[in-house]
Amino acid sequence: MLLSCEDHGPILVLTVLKARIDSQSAMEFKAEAREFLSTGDQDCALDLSRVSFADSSGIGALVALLKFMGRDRKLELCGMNPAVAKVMRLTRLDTVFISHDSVKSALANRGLSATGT
Amino acid sequence: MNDMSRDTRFSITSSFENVSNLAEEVSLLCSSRLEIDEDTADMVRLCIAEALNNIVEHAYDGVEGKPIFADVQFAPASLEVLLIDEGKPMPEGTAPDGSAAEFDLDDIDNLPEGGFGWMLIRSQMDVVEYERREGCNVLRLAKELAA
Repeated sequence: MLLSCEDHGPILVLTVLKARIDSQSAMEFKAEAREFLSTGDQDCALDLSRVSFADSSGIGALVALLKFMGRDRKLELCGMNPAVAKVMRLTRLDTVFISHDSVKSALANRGLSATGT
Repeated sequence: MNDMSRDTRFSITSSFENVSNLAEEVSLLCSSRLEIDEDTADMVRLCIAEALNNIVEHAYDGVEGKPIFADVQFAPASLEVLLIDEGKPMPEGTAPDGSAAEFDLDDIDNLPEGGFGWMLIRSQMDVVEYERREGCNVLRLAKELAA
């Protein structure tokens, strides 16, 4: 298991529990994320705050997820570590993703509050 | 730390899991050295992971259990990593130039999901040299360290 899921109504918060999204875990990540997102029409806030390393396979998996969401649902990346954000910039894919400092700010942006705060 | 400990050799067998762990080990080795900042250690980890992924995927066609060696050497102002495998040679005998594929950022459906490896390696490493030596692929990656 790579992901945990929290339902916040219009947006599903998926938290990546592993420290790496790379060639080893990218396939599993894509499969699990699609499973969580396959029903329903919710947007997704992907919590990457625990991920300290992503390689190009990992970034590719995020692109695959973005495509999977289609035009009507949003994918928002939250809490990206500097190393992950840098790979994103180097591949020029940073501009295609919406990103937030944290899940909390992604939720606040929609007038929602994180559970327990 | 004496001179004898400046050269570290790692030996793994081909698998994405081993590659991922090796790239992390090398970055930890970098982080343990005062002259290497966090960003440099992160980028070394990235480049080694990309190069090793290519070895597993292309040189060994995804076959697990094949030998890969990594030699990490610290000089006063540079870091050098030698990656050696016994797989297929690089196409046309050279490492790809890594020229970034053109893509339209507005065309989400056709965004690339890969093929960034060599572009990343070449953008972050100061030396990228490939040669075929005695039936082995030898890839030399070096990075100059800020004074």
